[in-house]
Amino acid sequence: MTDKLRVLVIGAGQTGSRVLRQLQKDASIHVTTADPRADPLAVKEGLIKAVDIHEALTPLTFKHVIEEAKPDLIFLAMRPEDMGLGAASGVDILVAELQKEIAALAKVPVIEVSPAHA
Amino acid sequence: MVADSRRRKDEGLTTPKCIAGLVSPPHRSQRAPIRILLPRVLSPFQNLTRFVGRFGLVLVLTAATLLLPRPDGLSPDGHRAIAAFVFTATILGLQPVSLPIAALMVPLSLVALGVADANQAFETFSRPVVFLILGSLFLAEALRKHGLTRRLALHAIRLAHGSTSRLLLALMLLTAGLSMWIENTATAAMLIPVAITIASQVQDRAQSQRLLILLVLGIAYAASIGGMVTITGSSANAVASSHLAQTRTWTFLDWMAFGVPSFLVIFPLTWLLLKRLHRTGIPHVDAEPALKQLAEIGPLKGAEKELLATLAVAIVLWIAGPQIESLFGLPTSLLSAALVAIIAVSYLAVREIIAWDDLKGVSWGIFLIIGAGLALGEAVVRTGVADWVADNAAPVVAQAPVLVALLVLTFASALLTNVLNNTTIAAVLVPVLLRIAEQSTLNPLYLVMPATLATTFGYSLPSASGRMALIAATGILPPATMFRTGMIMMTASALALALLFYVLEWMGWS
Repeated sequence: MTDKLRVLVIGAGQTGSRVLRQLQKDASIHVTTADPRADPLAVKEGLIKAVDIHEALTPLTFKHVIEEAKPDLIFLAMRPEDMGLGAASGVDILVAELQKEIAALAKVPVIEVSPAHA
Repeated sequence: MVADSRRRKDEGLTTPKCIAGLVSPPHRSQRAPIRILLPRVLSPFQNLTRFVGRFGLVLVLTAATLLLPRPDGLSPDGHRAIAAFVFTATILGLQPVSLPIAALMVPLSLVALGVADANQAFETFSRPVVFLILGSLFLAEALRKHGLTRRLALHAIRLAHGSTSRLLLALMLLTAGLSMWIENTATAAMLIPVAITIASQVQDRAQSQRLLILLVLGIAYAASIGGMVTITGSSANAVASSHLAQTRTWTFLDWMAFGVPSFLVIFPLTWLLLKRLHRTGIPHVDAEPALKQLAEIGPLKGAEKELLATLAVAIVLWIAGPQIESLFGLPTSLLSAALVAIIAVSYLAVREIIAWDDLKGVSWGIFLIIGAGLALGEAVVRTGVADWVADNAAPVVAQAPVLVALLVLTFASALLTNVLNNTTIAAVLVPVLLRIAEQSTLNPLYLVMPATLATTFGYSLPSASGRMALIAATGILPPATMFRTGMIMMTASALALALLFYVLEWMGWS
């Protein structure tokens, strides 16, 4: 268990699902998912039974999530519109900057995944 | 707490639950973090109902205005222009669709109501001031791409030496300084995550939450107040400047002659009031993490230095462009504010500091909002509404003591901006105020400037400004706190602004 590569995938929507499909090819990888939505695409498509951490990641929650998930590697796979924050002006900038903050706070590598195009 | 969760349920919000045993729910763990950014999940049916309800209300109010008896002295065209104003105000306020699309419907309504043809309705979208704002948005994106905003924020934390009061001041000064030149909501959106990181360092949950609210409100208010200083500061300033430029020689520096004194009065007042209203109980915040991060990101890189230098040169040219033009015999308006912004962006692109792809994230919607506001303002003038209002209001305004007129103007504008889009307010108020000034002995600048600058004080409701909408979306502070603090700030600021303009008028400042 402890020898497994622990990967945290933030976002279980369209982009996160693409990441999960690839990671699931290797059974030795321990994957944890985080998404604030009740029923994201990865759950709907049966890629995962449920999201492990129902949390919108911010610097306030990040430390807690890291303590629980103990990842070796993080994939940021969440588009601003998937945060469910509505269409307020500046939300896209806010989310992008939050992701930068999280990447700066993380002690492990953070890989930002380009949004998927259907 | 119960009321808040009921409100969230009523609004179709879902509170994130921590499942699968990885994260304990808050009531089971004292270590549970503060949660913001609660997702808003609406079903397709709820979305449709919301759209029909809101758009229906826009149409009903517009139709009701048309059905009202036409006031004496107002032309039929003017009556329809007032209906267009009601349409614009309600569609930008209720936003049945996203704001830029709502703005795009404004020229449509002007043509449909017969107060403009297509050429007139779209002509305003190509005004220089629209490109000035677009240029400033591009510069903001360049700052963001290169992480300069974050670096500056870390320096601000360092300079505060751990004092919470100085930290608030430093972050507010940085926010205000940036929002003078780049779009206010974008500035706030770039700095709120830094405030969240600072608050996350405080162990006590209640104190952490109080600190977060203090810093986020400080950033939001400072972003608005910084916007008072320059034409690029807000879309309302851009609209007012565009109208003023049609009646007189009006430069970037002319705006700053009023914007800077206003900032120097309102900014410290806001800082002091905010500290008193939101006591955190935390005299010191650990600055060590910020220092570590500054060390990690290292010294300024070449592109960052060049970007800062470009911005500095652009600021000098915005302020002194007309003087430099005449000094060197350059073509007229080559160094006008809009072209300076374009020159700066072009330079950065040639130097490959920014690329077109970097600009995809720019809030292009503001382009449509300013264009729509200007189109409405033109219709108000063209159809005689501005003259009609001025005919009725000028005698009252001219006879009223100056201080009373200023108080009425600033408070009316500040109150309206909490429910109406500030561009709409400027679009309608400015031409009317210019007509009132023509019909009286009043200096138009002492009507237009306080009315426009008071649109800054939209602090009380999410509808008041992009900053407040953004904070409301994050769920960082309860609506009641936003309203209470906002009303106090708005009242104090409007009063201070009116008094400032009274003193400036007495001094003969222009």
